[in-house]
Amino acid sequence: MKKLKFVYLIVSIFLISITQLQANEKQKIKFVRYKLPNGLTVLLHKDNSKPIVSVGFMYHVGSKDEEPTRTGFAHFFEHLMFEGSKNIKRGEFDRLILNAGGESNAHTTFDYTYYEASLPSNQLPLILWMESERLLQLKIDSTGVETQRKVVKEERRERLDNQPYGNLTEILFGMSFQKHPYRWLPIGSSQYIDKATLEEFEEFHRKFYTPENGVLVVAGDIKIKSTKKLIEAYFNRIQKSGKKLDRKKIEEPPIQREISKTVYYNVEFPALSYAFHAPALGTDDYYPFIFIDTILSNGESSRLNQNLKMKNELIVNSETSYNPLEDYGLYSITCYSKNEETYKLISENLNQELLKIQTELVTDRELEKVKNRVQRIIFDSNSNLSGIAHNLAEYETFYGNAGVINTEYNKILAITKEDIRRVAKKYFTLDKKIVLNYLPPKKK
Amino acid sequence: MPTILLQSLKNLFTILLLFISILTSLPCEEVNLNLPPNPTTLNKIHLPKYQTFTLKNGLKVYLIEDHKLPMISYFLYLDYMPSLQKNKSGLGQFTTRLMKQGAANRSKLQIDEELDFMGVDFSIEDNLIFASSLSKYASQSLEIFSDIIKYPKFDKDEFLKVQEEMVSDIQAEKQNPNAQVDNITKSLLFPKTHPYSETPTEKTIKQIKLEDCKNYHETYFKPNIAHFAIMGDLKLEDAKLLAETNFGKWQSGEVPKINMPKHFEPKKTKIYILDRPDSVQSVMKITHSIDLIPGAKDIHSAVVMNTLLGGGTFRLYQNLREKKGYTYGVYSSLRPDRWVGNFSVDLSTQTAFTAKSIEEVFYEFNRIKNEKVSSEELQLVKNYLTGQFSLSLENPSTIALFAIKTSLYNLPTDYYEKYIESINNVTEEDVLKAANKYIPTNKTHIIIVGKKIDLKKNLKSLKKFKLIDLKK
Repeated sequence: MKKLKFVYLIVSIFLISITQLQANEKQKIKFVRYKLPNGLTVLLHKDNSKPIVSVGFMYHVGSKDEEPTRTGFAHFFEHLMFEGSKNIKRGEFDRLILNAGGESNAHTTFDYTYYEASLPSNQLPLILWMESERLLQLKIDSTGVETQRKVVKEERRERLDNQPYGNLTEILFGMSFQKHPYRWLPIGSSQYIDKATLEEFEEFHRKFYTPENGVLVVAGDIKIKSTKKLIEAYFNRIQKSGKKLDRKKIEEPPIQREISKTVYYNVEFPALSYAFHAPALGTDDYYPFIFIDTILSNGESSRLNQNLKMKNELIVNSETSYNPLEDYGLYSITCYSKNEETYKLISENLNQELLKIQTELVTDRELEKVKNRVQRIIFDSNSNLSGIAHNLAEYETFYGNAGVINTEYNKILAITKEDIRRVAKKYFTLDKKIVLNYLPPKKK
Repeated sequence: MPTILLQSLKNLFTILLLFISILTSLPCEEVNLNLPPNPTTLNKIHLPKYQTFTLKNGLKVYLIEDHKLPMISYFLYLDYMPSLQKNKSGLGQFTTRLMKQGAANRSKLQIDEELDFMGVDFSIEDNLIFASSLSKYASQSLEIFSDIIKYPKFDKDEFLKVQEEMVSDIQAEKQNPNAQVDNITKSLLFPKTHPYSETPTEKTIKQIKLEDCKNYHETYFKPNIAHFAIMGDLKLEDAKLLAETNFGKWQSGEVPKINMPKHFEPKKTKIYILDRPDSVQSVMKITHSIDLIPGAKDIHSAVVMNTLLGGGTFRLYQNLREKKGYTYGVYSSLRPDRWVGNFSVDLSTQTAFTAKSIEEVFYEFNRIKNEKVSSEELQLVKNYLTGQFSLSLENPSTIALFAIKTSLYNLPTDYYEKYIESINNVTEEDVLKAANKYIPTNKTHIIIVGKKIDLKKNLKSLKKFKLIDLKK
């Protein structure tokens, strides 16, 4: 991420992805979708209630498109997209946005890179021009590359290396994937960040930053007709790349047995983590799995919190993370405990919970509760223009159909107790899981 | 008849004219693709209106209607300043946390289950209580919300659980460098006689008794010092009914007011280091208390000055990140307060760049204090703040905060209506004055949590500031 401090790359994916479902016609999100001759997909959502506009640009490229010897490259490149263009000098990008009273940011995930800006709506021409400039004629030089190389390494230190449990997720992904590029995080590793060259960045831009590989969203106080004209004026000058991206999907074999590892870092509480492969984004099992995660860990009354923490007082806290990615998904559960001696009991209890959800049906009330909670998460994510813009872009990129924003809720409503049990049984393979013991240093 | 005909011809003509003018106003003129486009005209920004009423017991209620989504949010703020808790520091947090663990006829488990069932987000911390829910559960969720405030159970078993949880939370923070910096800040910025200086420890939490919590609630949770905002898909009549039903019987009562010194003169600038041997970065804060109350005469000058220095991607960010690559982000903040405000610059950098980063921050301090800002750069800040203001209005809670602050701080009723105008009236001299008033470079604190052994070598170049070793 360029500067947003508080949203963590991976965790954010979950919230973003389970979102865009709508309850009824009143909340239907209307939008216009079309393609420019050069292949750029455009989505326009009109809402004239406030004089502001959000513009999002999603490129279908993330850390899974990186070479194993260049991890962190896509994210590093994201920083360079703020360097300037043929007509925007180095340092001018931020200044133009500030002067317009707006804010702009970006983030890189395993599967995509997203650029977003919110501005007073009279500044729409400016941001469209700027987005078109950095797609058409990005200009980066060695000064920019060297400066951002330092910045990106500081970002890694600040987010991961200097935080308690900061690398826990990184270790889990590393253990859970052997072949697929999901085995490293978008932030990458410093040794490869050091190696990336200017030429490689230029090549990356040519390959992935093409109109066919992008989705542009404009949401807010606009007129459809004049916005279309503006977009034509700035984006029609960009040529089709004409090349089809060669995306080989790397097959990741299922986890064959229990794989466990113990690591020691300076933390206060021992942490025990489990990880399982989980449904990929948008697959049939994806929606039931969201329900499973919600039942296990969303809210004070969730099963893990009630049983492991409140009732049996085995743990200090627990958290789960469902990452539904494009090729595969990963689910992890982490329990923090007072001491390592309770590990055996925690494992037993955790196993019991995971077994229960795959053998017993959830209650009627639990099912209704999940539906209410998921509905509110959806509303929250569509409660502002930047949320709507992001959701439209993500649906278009990964489902090829932004309209899912208005139909997904019906899928959620149709989920049955049997679906939940079936999917839990399929993924919670207790004898084939990843186990991480993340411990404080041994006492001398 | 003829006049009517004439009239309709006229109308037709007007419509035609309108049509033509719409056509010509479309951006079909030649576009120069090599230059940033100019903004189109923007309508004047109007603040969304809110409604307000007061219950007989003194509870002030604000309604901000927003019908975009079927959601309702509640926000209650209690305007009190607790006295020193001394050996029971953390009592406020403890009490409010315990209040949620059972109220009126519901146990903790029932409250948790019902709130989760309704999809409610709920938080309570010190004097702020917040909840948001689907509007179909507007009244059920407010019932629980108000029961927690009015009739907490203060159950003995739950008391012990909360105590244990709070101790765990404090332990968990021990290895967190950002939490460590915040705790040091409190102890340095305010004297021990001031409630703002207090940080709960395992020891103080263990000294708190159930009776203390009951007393705390009894003392401070009164409607006559409370501000209650309702935001969302609701009409005034419904809001009145909801407020009256849930808070009408809440008993008012006198809340003690305490007198406190308003501002503390910081001492000579020193560097305070807390050792964290496995740190790969120095987590830093440069900070001091300031005498700046909300609504102060020079508040807009102070806001403009702080933005220029370290808001958004302004000077500090441009220098330390975009030019030097020392840090992922560096920002300054200025917090007005009725008792003691504070100013701070926050950043993290690798140990080797610690001294250089401090030098650059002080370079920017001196620049803003000694050089008049150019009119171009000042305009940039004003444009930025104007835009940010209108962006902030998208969220209905912004309006709720404006409403509550206007009442709390006795601000003029058009204070926020005139915000942009006031920002635009700030001059170059005002910025210079504000910088000299609020950034005393020789009287600030430099707090670093990092790897001491390497830091000491690195900081040798900064001889002018005395180094102080902090103990855990």
